[in-house]
Amino acid sequence: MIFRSLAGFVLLVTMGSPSYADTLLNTYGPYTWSDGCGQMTITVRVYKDVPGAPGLYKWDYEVNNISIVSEDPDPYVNGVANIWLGLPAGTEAANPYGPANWEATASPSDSFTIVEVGSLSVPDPYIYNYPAPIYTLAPGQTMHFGFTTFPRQEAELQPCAIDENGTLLRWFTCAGADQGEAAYPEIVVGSPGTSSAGKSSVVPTQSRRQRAARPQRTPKVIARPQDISGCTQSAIGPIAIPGPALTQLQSFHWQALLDDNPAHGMKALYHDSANDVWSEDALADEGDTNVTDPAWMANSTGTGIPQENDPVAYTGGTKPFITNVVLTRVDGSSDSALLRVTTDQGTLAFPDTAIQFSNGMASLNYPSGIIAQQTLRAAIANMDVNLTWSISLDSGVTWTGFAMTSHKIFVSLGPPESFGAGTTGFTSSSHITAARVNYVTNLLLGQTDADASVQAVQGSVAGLFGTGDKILSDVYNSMDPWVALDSPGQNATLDCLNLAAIGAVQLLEAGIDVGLFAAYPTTNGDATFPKSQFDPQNINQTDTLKYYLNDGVTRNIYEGFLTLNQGSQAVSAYTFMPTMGPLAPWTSPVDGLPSTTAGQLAFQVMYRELLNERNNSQNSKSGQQWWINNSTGLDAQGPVVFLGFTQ
Amino acid sequence: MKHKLFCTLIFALGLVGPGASAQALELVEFRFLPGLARTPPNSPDGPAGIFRAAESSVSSGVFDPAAETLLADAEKFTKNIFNIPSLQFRRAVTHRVPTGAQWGDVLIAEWEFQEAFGNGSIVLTDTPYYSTYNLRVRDCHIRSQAELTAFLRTALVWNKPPLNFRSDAPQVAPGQKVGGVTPGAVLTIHLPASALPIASFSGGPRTPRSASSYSADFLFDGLLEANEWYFQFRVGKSFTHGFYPVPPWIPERFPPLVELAKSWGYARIRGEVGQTVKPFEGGPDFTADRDRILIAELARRGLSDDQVLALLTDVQPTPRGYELRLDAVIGGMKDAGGASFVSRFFVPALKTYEQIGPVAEKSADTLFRSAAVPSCLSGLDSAALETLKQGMFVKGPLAYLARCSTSREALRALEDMPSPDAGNERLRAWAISSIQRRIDGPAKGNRMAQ
Repeated sequence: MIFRSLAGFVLLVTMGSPSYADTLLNTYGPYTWSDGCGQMTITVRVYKDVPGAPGLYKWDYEVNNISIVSEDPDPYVNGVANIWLGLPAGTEAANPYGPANWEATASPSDSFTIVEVGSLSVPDPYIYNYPAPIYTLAPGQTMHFGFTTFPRQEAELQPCAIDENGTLLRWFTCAGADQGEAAYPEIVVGSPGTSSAGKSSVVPTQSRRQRAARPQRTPKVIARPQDISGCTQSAIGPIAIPGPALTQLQSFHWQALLDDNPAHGMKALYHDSANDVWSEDALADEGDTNVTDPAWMANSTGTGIPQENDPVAYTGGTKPFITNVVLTRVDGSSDSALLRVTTDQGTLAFPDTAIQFSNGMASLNYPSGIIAQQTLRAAIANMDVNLTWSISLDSGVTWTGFAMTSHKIFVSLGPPESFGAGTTGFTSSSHITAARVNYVTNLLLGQTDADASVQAVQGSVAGLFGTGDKILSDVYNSMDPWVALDSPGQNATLDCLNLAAIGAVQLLEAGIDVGLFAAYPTTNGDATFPKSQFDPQNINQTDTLKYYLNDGVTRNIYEGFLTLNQGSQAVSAYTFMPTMGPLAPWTSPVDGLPSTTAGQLAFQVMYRELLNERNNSQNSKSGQQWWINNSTGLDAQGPVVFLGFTQ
Repeated sequence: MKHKLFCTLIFALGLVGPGASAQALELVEFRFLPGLARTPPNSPDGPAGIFRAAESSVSSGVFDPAAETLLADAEKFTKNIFNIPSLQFRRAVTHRVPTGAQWGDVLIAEWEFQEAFGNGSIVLTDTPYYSTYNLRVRDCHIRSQAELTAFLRTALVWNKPPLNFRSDAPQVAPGQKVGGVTPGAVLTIHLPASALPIASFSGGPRTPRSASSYSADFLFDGLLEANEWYFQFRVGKSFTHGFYPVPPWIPERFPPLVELAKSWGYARIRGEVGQTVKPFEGGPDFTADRDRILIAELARRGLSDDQVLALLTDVQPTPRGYELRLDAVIGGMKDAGGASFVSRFFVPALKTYEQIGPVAEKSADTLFRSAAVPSCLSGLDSAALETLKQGMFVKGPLAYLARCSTSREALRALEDMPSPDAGNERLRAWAISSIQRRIDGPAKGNRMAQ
């Protein structure tokens, strides 16, 4: 049950053996592993000066299968076909290798870095065509596998204990192998994905196996039947694995440089501490935790998943700036060094920066730091940036990597803003959150122009929501536009102002300055507020000026719209139902036309909306203004001339 | 008569709008209108006359016990509109309007109160479509704009649902920029031009909650007559979400339609589908809201494919008619649980709308959008592309492809299609960029823009 080698023909054991150019640092083992009736040995060798990987360590594992046999029902199968090595999370294992015709991978995850070396597989008719390895490490055969890391200390793990049934008593500080349930820092030798599904966890005796015809595959090795009834469920033994890096990154913070204000251009983002990661926040979550210095901080062990790793939002045109960097060296040395940070982003580069270790510690405290060599392009971006950290102790002649970090960086067109709903009844956004900036920078990826961004948002809102006469609370029991974006659809047929509000909250978080307004029917040039009069026929009653939609039956009070602002001035207007814009401020002289561009835009929007309704006219009232009695709901006076049509 | 003093402080907002500097803003703005005449005493159409009529209607008639829950929740709602903790229930009656635009179950209730701003009665006429509060208040001292502002500040619950005027919005932190709505007054009050002392006014929110009339109204009038103030507050039923035990705009409320329909046979329910609910001239049509409940009940009992498709077409042959019915069918089947409408009926529904022609364009839009949000119904790329190619329906297929397609063929088709009108052009551009991003995959999509 332990080493489920489910298919086995030929084992190639020579590939991946260390080159003689490598410099051997240490040898560990051979470690003897046993499952009670069979044995294998593992010898671990640590090298430096690896050809093709300067500055890295190579970890070579020599596995010699002495007598471990298979429990697979297929009698042609024998040996070890799959090896998993679970390293502490954050171990930057790279360049994995193994025997030819085996696959070697190194994969980081939240819990482990997994090095897996396994035989290629084919469907095996003996196990219901489940994938089974083609090659195995049969008894008497030896193989090498391994990988590289930054220079790291070596750590030795002792064997795990097992219970009376041979089950491993897990897990976190010992080494063992069983049927393949990976757990830190478990070494799993076996093949969980290829174990015979539905089979008992007890090793069946060889005599139970049914021999049957099977497709011919070559090359072919027939295993010797063995009595494996005395084997336990697990194999255990010691092993050596990479430990903490010799140089460790403890923490740093993202800042920005713009003009003389280092804080300008970098926006602290909120997220919700109730969720493990910010990406689990709903858009409607305001967040309760602000990203503060340091944005990145290693965990207490100095390796693995960082304790902090918060996203950051920059405004295009600013320079990222890494500061408050803290490094440590396990040897406690006091050296002058150069620090190098490289990225996988072509337009983000940092210069080498001098740093001084003192008793194993070095820091670059604000205002010192590492300033990006170029400004970020003024284009909306949503980047996954990987940084590789190296130091040189010989003035840049040789470099040694010590850390790799990954970061989410957003770039907005301007400083992101939260949404102030004023007294409209919409819910204001109190925070700029990571989830929201992530959403809008993905939506507007690559946009360099505010007008084009508004139009893109018009398109997305049109695709997500229907048009009608409902308000947000009718559909979502909330007046928060972000709630609607969390659950688009829902038969939401929303009115013009509600659709515009959904657009506004997104654009603001992308750093595009917009205002939310309503344009009203008007008797003069001022369309910025609802017009009322005392009803001429009904004493003590009031009328409100409204306008008829194209059906000549439905009346609206206003047309909602967005203004795109530059500086402190509204420069153009956009509507979401119907989709219009950019509209320019009304400039022809009209009595009462406001002096503000926002007011002039309101008049323009009302004019265009009335024109739109008239162009799709279904009767004589279409697009006409009318005084409506507030008490009776009936027409009071009309049509009322809109002065834009008299120009 | 007690002399009540009102705080004359004008409360201020501190929100900063785009480019605006922080400044104090008045919560209530006053505008003066010419043309007001004083209501003659005892005029039946003045506020006093209206109040007396409401009071009269609650003093006769009977109360249907089935309306108890509605009455209790209406009282809670009232306490969330008005800041009147002393509210004391006096009496209530119910009646049913059997026909006409205002058909449905009506509740009329009266309470009394004694508050610092005055003592008096409040009569609620609560129809399925509107809540009208008529108040008569004694010892209420309103003569100036400041006193009127203070009265409204005191008598209304400003900063909690349902009104949520948010006059207590926190000050913006130093250096923080807030976009969106330019701060302004919460309420606009209209006064006669010849103003002081104030004896009448009318008002409402500076920005109405809805572009449509009635559904989210909050309008009010006041008039002083014989030392008594008469106020009327007209509240749209949108505000009752979360407060009332029944959904707004559904005529049957005691018992609620959702319960009533359970006792009806198929034919009765089917016959009720499509009964017009349009209570106000020029206002919204709520027929689909009622139909959704009826169709949900039908769907719970089981509907054949033909019956579902018949529901889509058994309407006034107008764009809005088809669209609202589709909304009702989609919503009703969702409420009933089971398979979603689009997963079961997308193809036949689309075919139906294609046969109907351009008048069904909005319905086709809704159909495609429902297949795309909140999650994608897969495998409709070719249907969307074919529909686009036919040219009759544009917006819906674009919306679907924008959300769901990962196909290069779709991308090419969208790039090659003739430019649609302005609104759909925006949608087409969004679709192209969205599909391109999905084809590129997250790695490329997340690269820094070059």
